[in-house]
Amino acid sequence: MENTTREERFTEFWPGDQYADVWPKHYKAGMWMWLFHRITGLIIITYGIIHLGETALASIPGTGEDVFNWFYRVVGLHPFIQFLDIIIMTCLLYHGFNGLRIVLMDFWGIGTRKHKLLFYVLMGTGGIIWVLALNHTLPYIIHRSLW
Amino acid sequence: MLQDIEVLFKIRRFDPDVDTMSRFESFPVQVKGMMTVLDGLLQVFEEQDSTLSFRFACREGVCGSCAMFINGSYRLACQTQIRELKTPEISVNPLPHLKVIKDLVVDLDPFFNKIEQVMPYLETLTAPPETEQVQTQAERKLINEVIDCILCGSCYSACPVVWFNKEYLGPAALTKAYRFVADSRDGLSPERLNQVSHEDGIWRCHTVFNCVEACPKNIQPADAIEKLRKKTISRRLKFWK
Ligand code: SF4
Repeated sequence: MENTTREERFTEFWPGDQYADVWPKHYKAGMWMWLFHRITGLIIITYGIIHLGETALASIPGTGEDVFNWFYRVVGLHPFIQFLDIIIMTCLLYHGFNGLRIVLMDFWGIGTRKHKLLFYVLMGTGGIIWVLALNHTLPYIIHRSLW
Repeated sequence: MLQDIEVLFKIRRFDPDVDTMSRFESFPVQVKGMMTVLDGLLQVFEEQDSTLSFRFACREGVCGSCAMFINGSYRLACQTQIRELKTPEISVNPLPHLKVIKDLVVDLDPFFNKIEQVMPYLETLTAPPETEQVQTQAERKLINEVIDCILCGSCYSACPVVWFNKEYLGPAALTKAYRFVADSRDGLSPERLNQVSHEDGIWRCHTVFNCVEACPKNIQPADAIEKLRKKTISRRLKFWK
């Protein structure tokens, strides 16, 4: 260790390295918003790919259509899948409205000093849409699972 | 009269010559009156362990040497009252994500290299006037906040983009750039904007706002970066306001 300079040593793994602030208990609001934006983004793109594959089945004449119909009836309308749909919808609403916040900040500089307020206003709007949509799906899910 | 209390300082130690890992060491500290964390560290240094290393100079929040990660937040040790923390145990870490030279002393070279990259000095381009450079109150108000930066490195250490991308200029350097772009006396604004407008400059910011939370001087680096972005866009796309 004596023969190396400080710069040389520091480029490698350094035993003194410490990352005390990476633990979630230290995250502040903005960090959570950013993290959830990433996570919901991944969920949405995974869903998108599955959804694309599933609907593409319908375009294959004959067997494809049958498989799609079966898939739609047995899997798509299953209460559990409907429940997953609610999760997808939640992710979409979060990702969309948080994305709106980022667009407003990046393109017009709106709300950069009050980003939390902007976040709550947008989430409030998203929340209203969420409740309205839930009002639509939840009775169906309950009906299907009891039936 | 305030009652004396005893708190336990849990200090992260690392001596490159001896240690293979950083470790915590606890020191009891007698808190008299309104002692700051820096006073506590000095007490440990004077009475218990004189091998403890830490930086400080002004002990009044203008030099930016004593920025540390104290009880889960970025703070200046000299501006943090021990009593205000309201915990019997106080964890004192060096600034995370920076190379530790010894104990609480971190290597700030990458941070200052990036400050240097943005030309942190005033360039008037005109001959110096006979008297002072006059600014109106409104012009001064534009830089009122960003001029407060004490180069403590908290925002740099807190930025998750810096964690993963060592090329990113970081909040402090970009705030410094904005400070001169917004200054009415400065003549280099177009060059400055060009200089920070690349993928490891203003466009790398993910608006996580950790810098805003971290800054002990209540500066909003994220806001400065967004203003730089807006200025760059409206300079390139003339119709964008
Ligand atoms: S902007 Fe704030 S946190 Fe960043 S270096 Fe300056 S004073 Fe420190």
